[in-house]
Amino acid sequence: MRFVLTVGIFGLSLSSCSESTLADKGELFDTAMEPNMANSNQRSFRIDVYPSDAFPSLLPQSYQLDGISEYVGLDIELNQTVTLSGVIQGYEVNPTSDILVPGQVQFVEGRVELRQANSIAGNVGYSRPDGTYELQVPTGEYDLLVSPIFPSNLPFHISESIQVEDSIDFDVEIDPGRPLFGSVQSGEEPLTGAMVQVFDVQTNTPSAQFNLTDDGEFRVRLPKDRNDLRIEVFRLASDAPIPTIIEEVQLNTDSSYLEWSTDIGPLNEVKVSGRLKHPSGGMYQERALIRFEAIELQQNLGELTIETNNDTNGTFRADLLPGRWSVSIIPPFGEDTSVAPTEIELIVDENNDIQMEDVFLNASVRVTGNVVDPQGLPASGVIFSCKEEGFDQHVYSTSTDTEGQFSLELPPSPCLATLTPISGNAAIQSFYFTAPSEEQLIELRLESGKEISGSLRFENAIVPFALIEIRDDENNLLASTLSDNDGRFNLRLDFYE
Amino acid sequence: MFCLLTQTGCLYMQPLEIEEPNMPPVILHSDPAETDFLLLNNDSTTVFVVVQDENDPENIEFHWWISGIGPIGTAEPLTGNGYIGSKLQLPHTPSWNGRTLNCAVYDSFYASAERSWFIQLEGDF
Repeated sequence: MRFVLTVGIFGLSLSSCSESTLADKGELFDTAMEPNMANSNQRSFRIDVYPSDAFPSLLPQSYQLDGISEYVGLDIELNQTVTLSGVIQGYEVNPTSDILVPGQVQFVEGRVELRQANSIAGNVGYSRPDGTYELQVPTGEYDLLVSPIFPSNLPFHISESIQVEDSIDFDVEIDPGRPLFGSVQSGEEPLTGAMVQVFDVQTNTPSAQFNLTDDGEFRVRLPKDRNDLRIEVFRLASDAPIPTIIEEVQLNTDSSYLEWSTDIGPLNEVKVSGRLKHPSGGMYQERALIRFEAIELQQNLGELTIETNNDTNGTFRADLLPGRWSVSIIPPFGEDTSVAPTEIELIVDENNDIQMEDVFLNASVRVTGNVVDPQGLPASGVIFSCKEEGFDQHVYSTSTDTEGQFSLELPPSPCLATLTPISGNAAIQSFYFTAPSEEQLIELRLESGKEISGSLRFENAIVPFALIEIRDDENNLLASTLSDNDGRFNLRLDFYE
Repeated sequence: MFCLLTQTGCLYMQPLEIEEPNMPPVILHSDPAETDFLLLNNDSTTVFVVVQDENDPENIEFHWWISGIGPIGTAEPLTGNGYIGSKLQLPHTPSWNGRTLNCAVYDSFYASAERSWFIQLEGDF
């Protein structure tokens, strides 16, 4: 008796079977199942359609599969493209405490977004200096989100549940809202070199961005009807060791103005340097990305990520703050497949510049495998792809040969593996996988799954060569495919059997 | 192998083996269209290509890169009803503004096809 690894789109199980279904060198691969990804029987699904230039008049949109038990022969009628246009104006108050100085109505230049709930349909654009805007979207119900840029002394604006069934005009008038005053300190000093932006928590609508003054102060105007807000303070220069502060606040609806201040702690910079080594021992000369992510800052609030690169001698340097850091070294993709992304931990103490020990990059691992179809026969042409769970989420992929075998160099770190069969009798399946530290043969068996098929249409025409993504109600991607020359698509999934 | 030398050249005596010419991969369609800008105005933008290769579809390789930046390693393979493809999700990255996104498709005979898009970013949000 041997074991064969059986994979499912949200899980992985082990079952025994007769020796006749297995290759001789098969090894049991021990991969833990993610408990929250298992048993997805109760989920509802969504089909996202991205039309290509084969049907350029249509825009990306989603098709809900709620309450449907049979997914064969779906007739998906796509929505036509319409235009929402209008003029955006706002009442700008003068920046003075004297209420006798009147404000004035201004045309608003800003970011305009149409967003549809649980859908990829929507669009983002910018209004012109005269306040006019146009956005093209598929027909449907949308929220309109406006973030003024000029004048910036206006709150963001949200118009909910706009029915856009034809091309229509929709003008927006933004009232002055109420001000949020605040300051950001760094120890005893005002913080400079940073910006403040406020977001509506429910819709993630952003305000304009405001530079902190030399006194570390800011003023943002906010709408009166949005009380759950997220305040973000972030650095201007990407390599400055200034933490990002993200704080959610719930505001009192009755107050005419608001105040928020924080102290991010002293910025005691520590210089860190090091040198990268190839797994074989020589200097690492390719240009890797070195990403320092603070796990815990000793003296500061907030989150901080600093990125740098090595030079041709493998050396690198960065300015960090005291604390515990994760250091990711990410080699350039595809340049040297023998080298894998590497992660180490680093402790940075105050007032001690650090010369790190040489950092040896991980070596990639060659993974070979056999894939059999639901009948136990070699499955050829199956795409085996692995998407890194961390680092830069690089994707490594290959296809099985006529014997159902594949071979691929992978980093020895966790990834989400996917088997995508070409033939129509097996399901697309995903599972979590970590390449073993030594070369090993793995055995994979495809499940038959259940068919999802249909055709894309618009009015009386077919919609060929569109990208189709199937997602669950938590927006997890389950499978991707393409519609063919006749607008038809066909795949199998095993997630709800 | 027998080869008789004659005045005009070499006479090959073995059965002829017909070698099928390789058909290079073709990028049939894409989004954005070939001549369009790639507008990065949202948190994430999806780009994809649809490819046909009549005699070597199982050995197609996709290479995505941004000119002056380097290779992009996050592309995912696609397949459907006899067609193959590759898709990419691009984050809103200000340093890519004005650069070119390129996708090259190679078969195992090193025949190739390529498509490029000029990247345009909007806004600082």
